Amino acid sequence: MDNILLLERIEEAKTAVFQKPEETMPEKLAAYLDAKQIKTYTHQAEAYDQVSRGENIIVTTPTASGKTLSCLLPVFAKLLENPDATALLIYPTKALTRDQLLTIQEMDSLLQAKTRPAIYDGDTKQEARARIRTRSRIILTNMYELHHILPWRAKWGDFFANLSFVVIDEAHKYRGVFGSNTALLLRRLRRICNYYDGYPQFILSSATLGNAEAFAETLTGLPAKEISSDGSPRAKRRFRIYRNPKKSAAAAAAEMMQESIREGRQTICFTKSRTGAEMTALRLREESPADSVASYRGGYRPEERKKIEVNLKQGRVSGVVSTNALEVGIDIGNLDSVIISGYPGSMISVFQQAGRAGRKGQEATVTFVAGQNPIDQFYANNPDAFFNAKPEEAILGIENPYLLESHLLCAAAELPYRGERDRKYFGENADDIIADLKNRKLVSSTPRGFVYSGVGNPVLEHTIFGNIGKTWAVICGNTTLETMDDGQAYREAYPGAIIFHQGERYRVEKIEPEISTIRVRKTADNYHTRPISETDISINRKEKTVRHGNFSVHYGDVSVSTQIYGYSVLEYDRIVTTEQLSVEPRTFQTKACWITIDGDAPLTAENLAGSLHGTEHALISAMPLYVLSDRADIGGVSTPMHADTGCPSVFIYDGVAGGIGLAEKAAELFPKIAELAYTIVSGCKCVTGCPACIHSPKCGNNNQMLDKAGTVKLLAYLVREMKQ
Amino acid sequence: MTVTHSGFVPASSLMQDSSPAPSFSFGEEVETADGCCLKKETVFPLLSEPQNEEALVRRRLAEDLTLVPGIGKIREAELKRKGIQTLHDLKATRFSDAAEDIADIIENGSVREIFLLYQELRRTSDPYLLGLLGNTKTHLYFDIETLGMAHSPIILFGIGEIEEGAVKVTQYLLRDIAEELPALMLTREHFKKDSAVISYNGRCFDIPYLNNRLAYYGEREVRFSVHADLLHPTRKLFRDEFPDCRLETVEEYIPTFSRGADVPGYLVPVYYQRYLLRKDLEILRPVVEHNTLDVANLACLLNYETEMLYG
Repeated sequence: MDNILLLERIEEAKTAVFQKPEETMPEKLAAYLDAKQIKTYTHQAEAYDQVSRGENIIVTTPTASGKTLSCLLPVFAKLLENPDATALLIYPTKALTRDQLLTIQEMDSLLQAKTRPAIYDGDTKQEARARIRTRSRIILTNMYELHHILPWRAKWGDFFANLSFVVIDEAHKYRGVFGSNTALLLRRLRRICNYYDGYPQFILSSATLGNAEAFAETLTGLPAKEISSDGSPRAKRRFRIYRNPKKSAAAAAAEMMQESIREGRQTICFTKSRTGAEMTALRLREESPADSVASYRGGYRPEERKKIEVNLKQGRVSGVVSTNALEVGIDIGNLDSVIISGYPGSMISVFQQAGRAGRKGQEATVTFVAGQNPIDQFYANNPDAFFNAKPEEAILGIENPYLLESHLLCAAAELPYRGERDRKYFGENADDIIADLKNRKLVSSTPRGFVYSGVGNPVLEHTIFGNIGKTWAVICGNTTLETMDDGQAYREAYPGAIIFHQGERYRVEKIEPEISTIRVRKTADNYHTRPISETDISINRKEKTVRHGNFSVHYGDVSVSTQIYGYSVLEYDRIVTTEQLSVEPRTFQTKACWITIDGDAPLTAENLAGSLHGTEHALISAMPLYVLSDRADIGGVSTPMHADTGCPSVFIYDGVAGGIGLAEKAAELFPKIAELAYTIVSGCKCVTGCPACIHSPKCGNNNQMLDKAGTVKLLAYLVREMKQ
Repeated sequence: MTVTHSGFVPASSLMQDSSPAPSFSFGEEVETADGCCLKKETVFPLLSEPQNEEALVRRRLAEDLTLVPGIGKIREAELKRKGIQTLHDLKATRFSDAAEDIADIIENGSVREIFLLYQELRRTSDPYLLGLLGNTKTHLYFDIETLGMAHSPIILFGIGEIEEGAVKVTQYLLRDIAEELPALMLTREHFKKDSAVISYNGRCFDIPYLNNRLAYYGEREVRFSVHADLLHPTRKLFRDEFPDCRLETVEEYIPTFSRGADVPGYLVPVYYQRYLLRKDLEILRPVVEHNTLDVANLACLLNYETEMLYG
């Protein structure tokens, strides 16, 4: 064992703090709580009272603190009292929706509330839909489906008119561009409800956030009260940070999990990637009793996921290795030990994952195993920084003109748009955008308001929630093992690649694009593969250039292409050989903002690449505040010599195909963004770079080739040039 | 395929009548409380009207034992061999309960009740049902043209009614999107409590689309007595004979009012967008003609199919 314990902290056990709601509760509901021997915690009582008084709330207590009940109690109270009242429950994933349905159905039947809870999403059968719309009073869905439902509001009878609650679970997932889209979608929903004289209250449940109330208000358009006083009991928890200088995080985590399981503690290990989860599980299985360790991630078939969830809850498996798929509130009960294998990208995730630890009356452990990449290493070197870190703020906004335009078109197809009535939902800029849409004949002025008059279906034409693309099926013999989206299929299922599934290895034999099928065959060979790829950017059209002294900021159309050239064959973590591949690159068109440096910048041959790379990361990390995005919405490329510009260049591009104005805004606000980037990096006390300055959690090069001193110099130079 | 008998004027003799005549007009402006739009009426004379064969139809429907849940084609054949010919004869079998209710509706129920029964049984594609539409006074042939496939305005409404041995097609045309609401309101007035709507794929498209547009403006939906969508019966009858069952294709094989300068349905949005830019009604002439014939030919198709089954 070469695992080195760097720091340990103990969080003492906390006893439950119970409180009865002050507001009256329907008899049936009180009887239900008695029968189930449930005493409400402080936060549950507070949530109940606030909602009963007409407030919107955002509950930010930890995972497994009874958040679901906090949200459901006031909903059932109202639906019991008013037999017409309805509620819409929105979840970020289908797996979570299925899981929650069971809980809600059970509660409904015990309460005899006759709410007929049902899921209404892309998987709902056509013949079942009409019945759900007209009979169910609790409907579970997702944002994407809601986007499709709204224009058909007429088919929904009284559901929207009687809508009393919109419950948004895992609300922190709606940040960045996705969050901004959701915020506009929820305004469309509120506009429809208000039109029917319905004024639903919003109940949000979320991970701990740096800005919960402000976030809730931007997301829904209505002020909300944060409920964070957690009254649930907590087991004593031991937090530990480890590193293993000789092994990868996966290997070290596997070892620790092995030990934890051997001690009889049910353990969950979170990994950053799908492959990571499978690889770690595979290592464990080599030395564990059969079927005692499961792997869990997106892409598995629903039945398979359900089986793992149930097995976990009932203690039939002693360990599970999972991606962040189990970070959300799927009910698997609490576990004795949580191992976080590598920094998951945000503190929000760290808190969510840690929340899985802690069974009643037993000591629990949360272990962070630092990996080899610079972010993890930074935390390994500064374990205090890890413990003291605060959850990030969730950033989103409704001002992005691209998103606003798409949503206004949808809104105008749902109900004629009238400035004097609808400005309050979409902001002051909405009227200007409508006037522009009128000139483009996409809306027409009528006595009832502006009416959508485009040819296409506005809901489908404007791929608001990103292009979903194809779904690929991975098939072995006659069995479908799992499904993958386009991006995953390209990265993980090239010819010759090894795909892991529940501890078995499969080799990709054949790819049949016409039917979106990946044929695999089971293999006993003990190796895995890793693609060797490169991302390239090329300029298609330059739209704008602003010159600042010796460098220029440009904006225009670019193509970003990722090409897999081959793959490495690895046994354990050792590269045995590499193979060449000739596959088509995967290309998408988008908008980019790029800077070219053609003058006497303080760059030397040694620090050139590292300074540009660091500047790219710093600019991207400074952007969200100015362009209201999440850093995951933005991509970057930097190069000491770019073929199209002929000089050292840094590109920052929109992650959504076609662009949605992020790079455009970045070009416009470049001086401000560069200044903030400079302030962040120069003010950071670290020596070689850290997550707070130039390390990026989504860097394609694992944060290699970064030069902090060079970055500070280059940023200072940019700021100085702009001021002259 | 040659057709020897039909109640309608043979296609060839009508060619001249419906080819573009110099006297083509877009009708006249009508006013409503919500604004105005264009209204055009075209009359297509029919040689004869279908006979009211309701008694015969009810007898025929009662011979279909597969209406009873649990009886499929094979069991029906078995039962018929044993001499059980009608739903009434099922009295002596274990199917008597279900059969009795169904038989009662078919024998004594209103036409609407029979249609509802078939809807419940998911059997509305049964061509024999069409024989129940003998009361031509209630017929309402319906077809719309839209600017897009979903959530875009309806730009032309076509309604056919039978008057004095002729199909009278009334059309409401928008000269501007602002005229959609008046056109919707005028269209809705044609729908009566006893209307028998006859359409081609209208169950999935035209009627829900119309209702969604009415609701979009905050207006109540249309009501009617029964809806016969000819698409499904036509598929059942001609699936093996025609290359496909689009209305345009079907028209080539049966006697209908023939088309002059026409526009394929999928180009309608393109024509209308061009019209919106240039505001020259002449651009819409092929669209209006296309819709007129779509509506009038629904009457031909219904008559052809009932003649074929009951004539």
